[in-house]
Order: sequence, then C-alpha cells, then structure tokens
Amino acid sequence: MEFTVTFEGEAAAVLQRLGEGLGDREALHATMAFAVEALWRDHLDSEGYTSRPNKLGGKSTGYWKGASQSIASEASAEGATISMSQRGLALHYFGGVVKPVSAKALSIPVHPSAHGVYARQYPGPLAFIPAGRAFGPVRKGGRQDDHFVGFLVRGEERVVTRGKNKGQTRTLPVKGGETIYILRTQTTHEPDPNIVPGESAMITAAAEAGATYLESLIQSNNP
Amino acid sequence: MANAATLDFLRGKTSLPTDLRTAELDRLPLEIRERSFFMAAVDDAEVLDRFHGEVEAVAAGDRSMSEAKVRLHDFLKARGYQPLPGQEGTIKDLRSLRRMTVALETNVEAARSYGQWARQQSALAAFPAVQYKRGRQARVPRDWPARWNAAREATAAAGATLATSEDDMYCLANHPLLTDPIFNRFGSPWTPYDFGSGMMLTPVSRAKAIALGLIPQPGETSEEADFLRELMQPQSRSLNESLEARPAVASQELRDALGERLLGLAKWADDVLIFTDPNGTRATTESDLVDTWSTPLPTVFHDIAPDGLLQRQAVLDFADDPETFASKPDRNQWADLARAVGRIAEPAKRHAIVRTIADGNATGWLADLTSTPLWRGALQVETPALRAVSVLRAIKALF
Repeated sequence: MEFTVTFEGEAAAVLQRLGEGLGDREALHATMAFAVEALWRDHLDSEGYTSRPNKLGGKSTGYWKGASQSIASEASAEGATISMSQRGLALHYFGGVVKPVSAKALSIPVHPSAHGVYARQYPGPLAFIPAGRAFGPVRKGGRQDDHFVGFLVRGEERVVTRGKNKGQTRTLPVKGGETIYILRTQTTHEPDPNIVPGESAMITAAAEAGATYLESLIQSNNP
Repeated sequence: MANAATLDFLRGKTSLPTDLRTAELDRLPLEIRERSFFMAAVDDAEVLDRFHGEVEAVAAGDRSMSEAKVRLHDFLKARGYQPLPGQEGTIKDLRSLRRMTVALETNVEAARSYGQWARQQSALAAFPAVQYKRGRQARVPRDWPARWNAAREATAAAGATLATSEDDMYCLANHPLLTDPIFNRFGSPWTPYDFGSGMMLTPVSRAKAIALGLIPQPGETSEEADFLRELMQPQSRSLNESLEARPAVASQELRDALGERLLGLAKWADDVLIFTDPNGTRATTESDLVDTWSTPLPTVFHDIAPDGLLQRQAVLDFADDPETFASKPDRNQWADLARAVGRIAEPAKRHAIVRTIADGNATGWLADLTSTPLWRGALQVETPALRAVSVLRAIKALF
C-alpha cells in the first residue's frame, strides 16, 4: 500500500524557500517523508491500533506493531513515497470480500489458541462438524447464511470398531470440546480508512519537519 | 513494496548454518551477527534458506506471518524433518509454532527496524530522538523501565529520560544505552532488543526532544553539551557497504582481528574463514577434533562451560560418572554427547547413532561400554581434549 504525498500550501512554501538555496532536495524530502512516517506511527498508536488486545482473549500476534514498523519512505530529488508493507492492510483500508484460493473454505479462528494459526497447522486434532448437523444453520440477521460451511472442534483419534473402515482411525469430536474454527466460503470486511492519518495532518507534519531541516541548515552555516 | 533499506538488510545477510545454541550465538561478534542469517542449532542450509526466504516475503508484505508459518510447516513436513527425541513441540523443534514465530518475528522486525534506523540517521536534524514504547500487549511484560534505567546509569544519564513506566523512555536516537548489553540482548541499535519483545522505537521530533531536555541549548558549551551534539551526528552502519567490502576481510589486519576474536570458533584456510563448530555437528576426524577441543573459545563463552567447549564438557562429565550423567534431567548434555559421537562416526551410521544416544536411555549399552578396554584406556588419559575424544572412540566402537 503506497501513498504519494503532494505538498501544497504551507509545505509548498517551505519547498519554494528551500529550493532557492538548495541544490539536491533528496535530503529535504527524506526528512519530510520521515515526518509523515512518524506521524503515521503515532496515529496508529493514538487511535488504539497498536495497543489493541487480541479480540479472542489470546496472545496478541502483534499485527499492528508489525504494520507500524512496516511504514517506510523512499526519497529522491523529485519527491518521496511513503508506504506500509504489511500483508492484509489493503483489505483493512479498502474493505472487501475474501474467498479461499485453493482450499474449499476459510477457517476463521474463534478460540484464543487458534489466533494467527492456520487450521492445518493447529497443534492438535480437529474434527469437522458440517453446518446444520449438530448446531443447525447459522443465521445472520434472520436470513440463511449461505457461506457458512461448518465447524472445526477439538477432536480425538479413535479406532473405528465397526463397518468397512474397522481398525482405521478417525478424528471425532471430543465430548464437550470447544469450537476452534468456523468454516466459511467467504468473509466480508468493512473498510477502515482511519488506519491512515488525515492528509492535512500529513502535510503539516512534513512542513514542520522541512522548516526544522531548513533551520538546521542555517544554523550549521552560521555557527 | 518494502523499503529498499529493509530488503537490502535481508539480502545482504549470508546464511550461516550452525549448530551453535542461542547462548553461544549471543557471544558471536556483533559484526558477524548483523551480517548473517542464522537460527540456533540449525545447520541445514536448505532449511535456513527457506526461513530466510519467508522472512523476506513477510518483510516485503507479500505474505502474512500465518501464511509464512504454514508454508514452513509444509516444507518441513515434506522434507521429513524430525527434531531430536525429547525436543518435540519445544522451542528446539523447528515445526513448533513458538519457534517459527520467534524466528520470523525477530528477523522481520530487525529488517524493518534497521530501515527505520537508517532513515532516521538522515533525518536527525528534525528527529534527533526516539521513544521506546510498547507496540504489542504482553501477558507478562518484561521490566523494561528497570533495564532502561540500569543501562542509562551504566552509560550516560544525559540525553535520556529517567524511566518511571513504559510510557516515558525517551533518548537521543544514537544514545549508547540503546546498545548496552544490560538493556539490549542483541547489541544492534535497531529493535528487537530481546526475543519476543513487544516493544518498538518511534521517532521523536526536535521540538519534543527540546521539551524533554534531551538536547543542549544553542550556544551551550560544556562537556555534556559536546557529548550530546556528538550523539546527534548521523552514524554510518551500511550493511551494503560491508557487503561490497567483504573482500576487505581478506586484509591481513581484519583477518587477524577476526581470528583473535573468534579464537577456537574458526580458523582461516587460505581466504576462507572456516567455523570449526566446536559444539556442533560438523563431521571431522578424531585428530582434528582433538585440535578443535584443545583451543579455548573466546572468554565470553566461558560462562557456559569451561573454555566455552560445552560439547567437550558433556563428554568429560559422562566419562567422570556415566550413571549420574544418565540420571540427569537436562537433556542438552545428552544431545551434546550424541552429536559429538556422530561427528566421528561413519556417515552411514551417523544418524542412527545420534538418535540412539540422544534418546538418553543408556541402559542398553552403558554396561557394555564400561567393560571395554577402549573405555578403560580412555579414562587413563588426562589431557581434556584427548580424553574426551578417546571416550568418543570407545562409544563409537559399540555401534
């Protein structure tokens, strides 16, 4: 996810003043872009993203810490680009529908132990209960949820004692075992544009940093 | 798109397969740790490269941590990876979520944080300071303020705030407390500063640094002001430079310096620095192993075993009293003993011997061993390295 910040107004005025006295603007752009990085990190903090506890009550995976640390900038004499390179951020920002690529269904963790873990890597046997068999179809807003496939619950290996599969092992639900994942053919996510600070705040931060940079140049030339 | 400095940081690292454990890796010179990709006790280059690749994919935003972990899981399964007996599901088991999480998080954060550090060096005029703060909630947080204050006292109080909580740890970006071993386990100025840490660094503006009293007033002249101004100068620590300058390792001065610092850990063979792997699994001859175990490791290793040679020590402890050794709950020494025998075993038998010994159940062969002439002869030897290798020879002869 990348943003190109165009400096106007106050920021453009700073650039104009500097442009008259500076040759290569890369260092200036690097400082102004770094200011936007810093602002963005503060924004994620002040808006409660980085301090957000795990919603299932499990150990935090540190997703937002990673997102904050993925904020970076590249500067040149012409301008700067600020980016955030964390998988899934575009989905947070724009929202959208997620469908499985190769699997039949998406496994959605509903138990703290499953947070941040794919079902096939879950440390323990899981038993599948199809929708409508044990718990009945899930309804959302009173309507049939066509995307609900079933549950993965805590399971245990048992030897089949009858029938053509006698002697083989099967994973069956543990009596009273918790639901670890629910399985869906798609999930829908609302957009959250608040993960990016407002444009005016970014421009102000860049302008202030540019002005500070200019002052430091003046001071270094007039010790 | 990941930041160029972040990717350069990862791509500039050389995979370093090693059997060194975490405590030993911590003691490698910083210049080697910063330029190598390694994981404790992972001596399989292909496995290491796969982890390296997943770290890069996560840092570039091409994969999530969960995706990377499941890909590693599938890779290790397809490869038939098995941990040593007794290590299943522990942090030593590469298949465990805990191990994968630590490896991925530590390396991804280091790469990204290095990029931030490098960019801040170019922006010190406007952002001369940092705040060390929590970026992820922890169930049992470490006492970072106490570590901060101890490192501040050990280095310099000027340019750093006195911490009263996790919310008020501020210092100049190049303050020495950040790399002090009291505070920072790894020694690089970029985070993480310990395994699994939820803390991070964020830039602090010049205006806030002035308000916090971290930087001197314009025109202020004092020793402290000079010190603080020095900390506000950009530091150069370009890993690209070192990558390009790697041939300079061939320069005699640096070769000698590295040789002195590494002591028994490595030796030069022409232009190649070979890690002798004194505590690892590198296959060798009995006579070469005597040489390797006759040279002490650097003194920083000496707190983990006499001369830092913990594999040699495991063999000597076994020789001193095999029955007491057999009853020890610490399985690490069994693993050390097993690896040591494996190093001098025939390649075809190596795997089976290591697994049998690492299993820690010596009832099937201990009585046979102690009745052999080779064993009795080994116990007559006094020189530690020779004694240890003689004991290995006696064990090897049983299998």
